[in-house]
Amino acid sequence: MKLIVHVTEIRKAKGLTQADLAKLANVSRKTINTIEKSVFVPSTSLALTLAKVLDVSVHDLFELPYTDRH
Amino acid sequence: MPTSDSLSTFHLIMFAITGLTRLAYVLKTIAWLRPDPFPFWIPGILDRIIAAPIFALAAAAGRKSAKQAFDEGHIMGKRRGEVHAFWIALMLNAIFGVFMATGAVALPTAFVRWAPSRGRIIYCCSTIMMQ
Repeated sequence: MKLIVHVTEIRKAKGLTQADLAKLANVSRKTINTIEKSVFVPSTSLALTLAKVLDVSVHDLFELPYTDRH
Repeated sequence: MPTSDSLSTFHLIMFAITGLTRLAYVLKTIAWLRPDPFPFWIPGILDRIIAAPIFALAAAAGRKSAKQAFDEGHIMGKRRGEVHAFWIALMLNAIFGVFMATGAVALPTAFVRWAPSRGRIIYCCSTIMMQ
C-alpha cells in the first residue's frame, strides 16, 4: 500500500537536511530520500524513531490514502 | 573519515564492478557460444575480493556509520534486486531452453543463464534510479 508521506514538509519546517535527519535517526541519507519519495515504506521502529527525532506523531508523518471503505 | 554516504557509494561501485564482470561473462559466452570466454573463477573470486575493501572502509568509518550505511533501506534495495534478478534468471531459463532445443547453444554454455541471479547490476540500477 502506498502511504501519503509528510516527512519532507516536517523535516524542512524543523530546518533539517536529509543528512541531518539521517544522522539523528541513525540511518543513511539514501533511506530518508527513499522514504520521502515513497519508494520505501519504513518499518514500525524506524517510523517511530523518525517521529521521535522530529518531535511529532507517526500519524503526522504518514497517512493512509483515503478510501471509501473508511 | 569515511561517512555512511561514502561507504554506501563505495559499496555500490564495488557491486557494479562484480555485476558488470558477470554481465561481461554472459555476453561473451552468448557472443562466442562457448562456456568459458574468460576463466570461470574470475566473477566468483571478485565477489570475495571486494569484501576486503568494503570491510576495511566500514571499519575505518566506524560502527555507527557502518550501521547507517547498511540499514533497512539498504536491505530493502538488496532484496528488491535479488527478487527481480530471480525472475530475470527464470525468464532466461526458458529462453535458453528454446536455444538448447534448437541446438543453437550447448548445455555448458547455457549455464550462464543463472549468472544474473545475484542481482548486483539490478540492485545498482534500482539504487541509482531511486536517488
